[in-house]
Amino acid sequence: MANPVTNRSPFLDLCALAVLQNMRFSTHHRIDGSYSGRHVSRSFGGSGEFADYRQYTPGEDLRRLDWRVMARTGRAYIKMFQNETNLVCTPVIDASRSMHFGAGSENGGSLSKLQYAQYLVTALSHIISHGRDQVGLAVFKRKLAEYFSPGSTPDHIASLQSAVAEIVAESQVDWQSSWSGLFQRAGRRGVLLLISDFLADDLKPLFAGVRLFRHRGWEVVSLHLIHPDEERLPAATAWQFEGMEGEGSVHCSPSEVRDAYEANFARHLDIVRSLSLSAGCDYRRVSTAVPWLQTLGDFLVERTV
Amino acid sequence: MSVLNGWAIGLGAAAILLPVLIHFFTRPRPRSRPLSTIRFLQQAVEQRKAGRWLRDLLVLLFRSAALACLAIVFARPLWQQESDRSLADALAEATARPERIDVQAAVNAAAEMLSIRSTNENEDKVASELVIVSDFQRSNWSTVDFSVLPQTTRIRLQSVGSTEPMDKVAILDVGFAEPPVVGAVATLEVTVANYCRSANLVEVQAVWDDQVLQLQQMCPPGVKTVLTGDVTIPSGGWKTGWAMLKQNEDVLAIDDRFPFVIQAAEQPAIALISRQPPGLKPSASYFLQRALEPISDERSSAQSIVKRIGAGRFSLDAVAGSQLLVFDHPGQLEAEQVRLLASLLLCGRGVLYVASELIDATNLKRLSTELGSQWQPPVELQPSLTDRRQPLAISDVKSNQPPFRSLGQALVSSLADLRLSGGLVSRHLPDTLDDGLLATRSDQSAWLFFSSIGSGNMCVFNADLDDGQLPRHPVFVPLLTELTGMLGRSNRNREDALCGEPLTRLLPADVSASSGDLTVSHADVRSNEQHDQTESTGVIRQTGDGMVWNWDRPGGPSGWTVKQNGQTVYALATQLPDEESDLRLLDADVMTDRLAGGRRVSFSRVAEVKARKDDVWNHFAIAGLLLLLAEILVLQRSGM
Repeated sequence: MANPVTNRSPFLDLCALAVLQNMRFSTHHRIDGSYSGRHVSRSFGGSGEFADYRQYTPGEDLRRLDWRVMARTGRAYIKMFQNETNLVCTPVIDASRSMHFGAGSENGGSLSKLQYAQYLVTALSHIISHGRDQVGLAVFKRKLAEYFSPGSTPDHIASLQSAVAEIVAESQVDWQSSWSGLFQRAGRRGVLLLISDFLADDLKPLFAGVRLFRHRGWEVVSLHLIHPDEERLPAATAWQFEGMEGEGSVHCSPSEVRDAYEANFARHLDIVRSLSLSAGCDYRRVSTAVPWLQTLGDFLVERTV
Repeated sequence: MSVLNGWAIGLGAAAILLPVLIHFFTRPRPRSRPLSTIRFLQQAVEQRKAGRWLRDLLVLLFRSAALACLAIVFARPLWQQESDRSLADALAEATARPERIDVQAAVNAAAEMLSIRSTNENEDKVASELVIVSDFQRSNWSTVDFSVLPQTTRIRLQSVGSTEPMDKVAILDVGFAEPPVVGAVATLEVTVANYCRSANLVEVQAVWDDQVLQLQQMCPPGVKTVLTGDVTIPSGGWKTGWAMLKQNEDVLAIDDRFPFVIQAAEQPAIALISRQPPGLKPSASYFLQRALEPISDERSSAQSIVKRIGAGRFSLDAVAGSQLLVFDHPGQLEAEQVRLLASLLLCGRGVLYVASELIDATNLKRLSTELGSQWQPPVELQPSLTDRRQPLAISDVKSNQPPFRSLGQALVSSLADLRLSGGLVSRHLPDTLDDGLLATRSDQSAWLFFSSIGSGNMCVFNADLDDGQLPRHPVFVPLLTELTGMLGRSNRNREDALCGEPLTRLLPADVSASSGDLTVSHADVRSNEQHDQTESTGVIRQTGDGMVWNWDRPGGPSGWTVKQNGQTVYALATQLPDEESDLRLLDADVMTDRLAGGRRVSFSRVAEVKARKDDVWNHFAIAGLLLLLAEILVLQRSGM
């Protein structure tokens, strides 16, 4: 809930973000932007940096004809110049019940995966907006529960951050329905930042949506959130583990099944990574044990290199 | 298989359940915790289940089996063969009885059963086995003959006797030296056997009615000793009593108390049956009456113990209450009177028959015929060939036997000048003993002969008291007094029988079914009280000879009384056979060699068999250890 005094999202820590004030969210891919910006645009225009020659076709603008090359070679070629445009980023937040795991845990701070994502998206939206870029939002539940088209105005950012703060995890995500809703509403190509724990019964519809957006030219970045208590079962004589999305319960002694569990979980991580890479995504495994600010910083640095 | 400690089986079952219960009640109560990656945990649990199910099952089986073996070890099982099991069942139903064992009869019966089985099947292929479980007392088994058993019989003797000598003191007999008379001092004799290795001071307490007699004497080892004590029986009738060893603790307690019967007789009443008139003097009957009467004033006839009965009035009612019947010149007895006389003799009456006439010989002949084999007199009286016999002297007297023994040598010597006239001649009967011929005359005819007939006694006095010196001879009265003493005491002063031996007793002649119902009860050794019992006591029925008590298998040891109208009319003591108190055992070598009769005989002691068969628990202990090792191996192989 927003701070009633400052009307600011509780997940917006400006003091912490001061460290990253000079960082910008960048992409190495050519993007479609709305306005001129510092990012390399997908389209080619008459200004900007010389990019390449293209053979002249009748009907094109003769002002772009390179007369020198024609005089030299006797053939007609058009000069092409790379336009710079602004970045459009749409974070997609998995709001399934499993994202609520980890709240109050002694490991990984006291943040659940969802809270961690909320911090990340809120900070990222702040940084992106300061970079004169546009940021939107999509929240996946049983359908596309929340959508903000990319924008950069302060009011837009504030509304977006407020919406992020009010996300409540529900049972399961219907990936097919959610992706379909987002695909219908998403406009220009940009960067899709998928923040999820990838704990779905079936990963096919999840990555089907990813591949769809990749096919449409979107840059998809997968942030795979993992809580330390998911990587290693807590130590105790016996636990009654309860599923968070209606999977039932298991009564066992962690020491008896730890090895097999960790092997199964590691295998799942590998599968997710493999699917992500095969879908053409940038994949990054994020542990909630690492402070979100550090994760964000590392992420931004990685994207500027 | 049987077990010594059945409680261990229950304890073992509890022990098997204990880990389950401990696990159930102490298992950690799991805390609930959400887990987002529960599907991976479920997969892990399923994987573990598949792999560990067999291991857990094997561990559970091995552990439970080890506990079961441990419980069986503590239960100490005894492995029995099928034959031993059925034998054990039979032995469990057997009870010791205070009876004598007829070993040879039992062996003969077994031989008959085994022979029947052999004839039904091919005898060459049939191997029979006879198992005898006994202590093999020397007194029972020393004469057994196993040769009556089929040749293929294997005899297994299992001794339950002790290998150590058993010290034993037992009462073998209780009785009176002479039949007790009311008011007179009688000597009670208690025969004690000391089967110990050393002399023992034996204390005996004899109890009857309200009288107690304490006896004490040092008894040498290995012999029988008679303890005696004088008592005075204040009242007559039938009594039962007990003789008990005091402060005697040995291996067999049943022979420490001995039942006995006392029949104290009143001064005998005498019935004089004669056809001679009472007032005829002198006459034989007069002399007899005067000799039999105790010394008293003639005028006080109330004290007379002699009742004169005319020969024609001789009947049961007439002689009721008379212990001694004297016949003198009775004339010809009717057939019914002869039968009555026979019955009275068998029932314990004493009879003095003064034979002097031809008819007396006939009467005695008919009486002999009536009694049959129960009376075999040494001589037969016959009429004299001459009407008057010459005076005869007494040629032979058995002075060491009653009645002459107590008369003293001087008085017996005075018989030398006695001359007898009258009487009958006699001839010795073939195949008879002369033991009862107490005195003969110079013509070798019997003067006095004595016979025990049934429970009674009869003495025949071959003399004519009407004539002769005898009634005037000094020996006449003492002689008659002794004779009345002999004849007035019933042979039934020792009314006893052995436990378990078939019993037939002729009740006293004055007991009849018409007088009332007869009930049998036995005395309690602790209180000497009479009380009824529910066990069988035989049957009392009327026969031609009188009331007969038949009992197939007398119980006891105990005293038994027969009552009619609340009065005790008869008493009997059933006793333990003497030989059962002798606990000396037969050597094993004797059983297997001398008495084997050519059969295969094996001898073993139960204690040895028990020890040999008592090692089953070892196998279970080893099995339990192996099972525990197997459990450890399974756990190690599974990586725990």
